[in-house]
Amino acid sequence: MIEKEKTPEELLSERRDRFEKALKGLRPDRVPFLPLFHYFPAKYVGLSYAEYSLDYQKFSGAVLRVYQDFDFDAVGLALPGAAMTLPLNIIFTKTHPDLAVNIFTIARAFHDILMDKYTKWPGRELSPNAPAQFLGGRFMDVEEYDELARDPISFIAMKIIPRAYGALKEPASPEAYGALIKFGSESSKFASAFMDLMINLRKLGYPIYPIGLGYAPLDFIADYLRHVTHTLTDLYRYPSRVKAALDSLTPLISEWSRITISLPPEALASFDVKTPLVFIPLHLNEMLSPKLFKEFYWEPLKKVVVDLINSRAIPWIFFEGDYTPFLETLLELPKGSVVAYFERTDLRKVRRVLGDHVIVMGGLPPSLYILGAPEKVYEETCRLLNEVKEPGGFIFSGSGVSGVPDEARPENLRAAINALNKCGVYQ
Amino acid sequence: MSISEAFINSILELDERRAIELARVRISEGEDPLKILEELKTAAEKIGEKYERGEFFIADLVMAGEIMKEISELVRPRLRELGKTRELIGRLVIGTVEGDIHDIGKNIVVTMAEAAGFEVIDLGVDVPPWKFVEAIKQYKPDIVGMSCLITIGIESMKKTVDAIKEAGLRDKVRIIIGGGRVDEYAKEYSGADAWTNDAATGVKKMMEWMREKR
Ligand code: B12
Repeated sequence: MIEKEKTPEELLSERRDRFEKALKGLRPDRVPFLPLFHYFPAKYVGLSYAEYSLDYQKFSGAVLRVYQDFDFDAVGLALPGAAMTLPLNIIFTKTHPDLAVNIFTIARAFHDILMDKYTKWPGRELSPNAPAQFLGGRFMDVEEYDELARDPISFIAMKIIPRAYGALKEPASPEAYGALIKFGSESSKFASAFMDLMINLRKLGYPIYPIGLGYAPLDFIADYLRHVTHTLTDLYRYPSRVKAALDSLTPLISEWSRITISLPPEALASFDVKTPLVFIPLHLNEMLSPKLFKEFYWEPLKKVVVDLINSRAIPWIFFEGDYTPFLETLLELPKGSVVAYFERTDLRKVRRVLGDHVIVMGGLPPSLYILGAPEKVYEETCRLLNEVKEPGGFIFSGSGVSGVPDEARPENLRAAINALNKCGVYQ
Repeated sequence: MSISEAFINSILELDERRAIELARVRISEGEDPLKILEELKTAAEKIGEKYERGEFFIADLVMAGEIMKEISELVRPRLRELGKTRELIGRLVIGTVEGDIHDIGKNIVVTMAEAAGFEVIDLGVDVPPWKFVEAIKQYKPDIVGMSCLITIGIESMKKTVDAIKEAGLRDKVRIIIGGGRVDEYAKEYSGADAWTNDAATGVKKMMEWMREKR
């Protein structure tokens, strides 16, 4: 529960200090809680997933309720739907950097307008209470790797976009022009609703910080161009083609990612925490053998990450799956330069291998929040915190899977917060 | 090295071209296709062991699966020509549960179970409970496998097991669940018989069940 005696201003400054200290690898008064959400807010207030992903007011209302009723330390991610479809952003890196960052495709309206084939949505292709699905797909043939390598922006703009977005399949048609105009106006509606949400969260006493986005270049190929399975087999069958494509995609993704955090000074001044965090969710990381991992996954990703560090941002890398075999790679990065958020990697092991080389973020298995009893959640949270919160620089995420699981029982989330207030305190 | 050893090794080395070349040669030289399938089974077991030992990774399993699939597609017509059938050790109905579209793990299980001698009926992804029930009625499998990689799938697994119970079919099948979001809690809650986070262990468990059944 939120401590009622403190004013939002007091809470804000307390939480900002806590969060900033953790980001610096220090020991704040206690471990901060930075939650990420998919549909938990919808479930919590009793909204259908379809409404949540379609109606920005209802979405914002639900998120605010959750931040009001529970005590967190900063705003993680709360989005009304599936992953972004990035090809559309990437192509503007050179010509329209403002568009490269300001267009989002993470609410249903964008799918309705662009008819992308990457995603399916509740209330449209899916039942109203099914979570949105990012399916990806194969939008590029093996033969086209060379074309991708030669000029990624033109290739994606001319070939991939017409294939992947139904409304843009004939770029010079009235359908396509109309869709783009509608997309533009919807984007500004979404951006202003999202901005309002941030302002309202700040009024509740939650510090805000600039947030950017990054991607592992091989994941970009897997998610948006070739499909995961084909990408994996391409690594065995056509390694040099994939390599060439990565060589030209990597600088582009790095540049794009840096644009997502390049803010004019007056905009930066309005944030409570001034250091941008760049969220980078990884997909293929746990799937590759060490040899393939190093060459095709880690080296390109490392380039993106190091460029961000050199731009004074903190890469906030989400290691999906089990990263145990590759933990040592993080020692190649400067100490304290990234937030490493782990899904299934054992955090105790992380501490053993990495110590305080990275800022560690993570939580408990999702099934515990969904099926466990509050006492058990309390006990496990305390156990985890006691084992991993030292020597500082630890951020609690709730669960390892996407933060707070959609189906988490509210009393279990409460139990975790109570445990955090008890066992997350640094003596 | 015998041709059998060379063949198995080429699969373990993920040398697609060589494995397929060897399979072609053997078929054209009139070798018993059943022998080739037996060797695929051996290869699949070894691949599973390598994965368990941390020598193989998921991408390796996917690639090995591709190679094995291509080889069994080469062998199958030959088998038919000869009027032979492979002796099956059991029948598995498998699918990724409702609300979940992840299929890489499930596809690996399909290939490994087929190589082990199971007849596999793959229902695909986002499979609602009623489809599992219909498939049980139609194919009368020994085992039902469910794959689950997202948390909403935990509820779907429970619903599926409940639907199987309601249809009066629960005692006809053993149920195994797998995938990233599966653990002891999920097994208890859903009412499945076994769980695993690893295809090789899962296939071993299924083979054990088939031995018990006999
Ligand atoms: C690759 C991936 C994708 C690909 C899937 C491609 C495909 N065709 O499968 C794409 C990009 C399309 C995708 C989409 C989405 N994904 Co995804 N994805 C992953 C990722 C990174 C890897 C999954 C994987 O394939 N692992 C490799 C396989 C081989 O492992 P496995 O399934 O565990 O299988 C092994 C064993 O468990 C076993 N096994 C598996 N099944 C079975 C069954 C039986 C019977 C047996 C015996 C054994 C067995 O055999 C395998 C080999 O040993 C995971 C993270 C993770 N590591 O789990 C996220 C993850 C599963 N995805 C997630 C999400 C949220 C999504 C999306 C909703 C994203 C979005 N916002 O749109 C969508 C849609 C999901 C949906 N509704 O189904 C979340 C789930 C969170 C949650 N709520 O629980 C995860 C956990 C990532 C995260 N954020 O933490 N995803």
